[in-house]
Amino acid sequence: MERTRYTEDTWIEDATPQEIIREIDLEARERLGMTFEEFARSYREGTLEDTTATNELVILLRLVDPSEIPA
Amino acid sequence: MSIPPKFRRNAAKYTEHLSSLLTRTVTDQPLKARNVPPNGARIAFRDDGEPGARRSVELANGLWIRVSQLIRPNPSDGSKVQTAEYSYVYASSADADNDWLARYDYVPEEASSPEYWYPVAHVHFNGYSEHYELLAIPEKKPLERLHFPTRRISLEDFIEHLIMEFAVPTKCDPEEALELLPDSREGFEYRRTR
Repeated sequence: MERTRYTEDTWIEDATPQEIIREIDLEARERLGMTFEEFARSYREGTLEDTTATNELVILLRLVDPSEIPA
Repeated sequence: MSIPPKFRRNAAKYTEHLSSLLTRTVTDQPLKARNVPPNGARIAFRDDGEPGARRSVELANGLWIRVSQLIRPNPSDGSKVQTAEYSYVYASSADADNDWLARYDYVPEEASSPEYWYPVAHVHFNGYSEHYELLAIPEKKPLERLHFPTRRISLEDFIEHLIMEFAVPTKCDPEEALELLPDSREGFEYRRTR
């Protein structure tokens, strides 16, 4: 019987803050018509609308240290 | 705060657990976590598919779901996993941004701001209600923008809802699927650290 060996890396992969920022930038452009910088600024200013896209991208944004986010 | 290496292992185990809830019941698609030390990890379906449909998974009856969960190291024990936020969505197409039907949100970090007035756990409904339209409310918001309070739900609750209310076909006998969910939910309630 064939068995597949699942390792820890099957379920988790490491990413850098810069990779997360790139992912947010890609998705924010596709889903909200914003760059990462625009998205981060709107989040800080509290002007983002409460949508599926916003919620999911904010979850990603929480993985980025504030020092990595442009002012 | 430095993160014990064990957090990564526990995050992987937790992701595997959540993934197995889905792959044993309603889908073949597994979850995966992206870990960003020391801040935590995001759990979601794998990033396959076309732009705009990333991480949307179609179930056997044509319903689409999305799962997004933020986990962090527990402040008391950094090796332990703590759910910090979630967003669980189901939709009628892969375009969950427009064709969503309901979205369950848990946003304690957002709710910690004094400017956030809404319940920390809530559900949004994307629909039309003639009764709502008849109500005279100052500065009335669209129905989908209302935050209906709920308790914090588990992924088990979400899956059970899909099976019970939307007759999502299950990979095993529906009764078997519904039986394994409460057992897992007991563990969720026991494991909760927040």
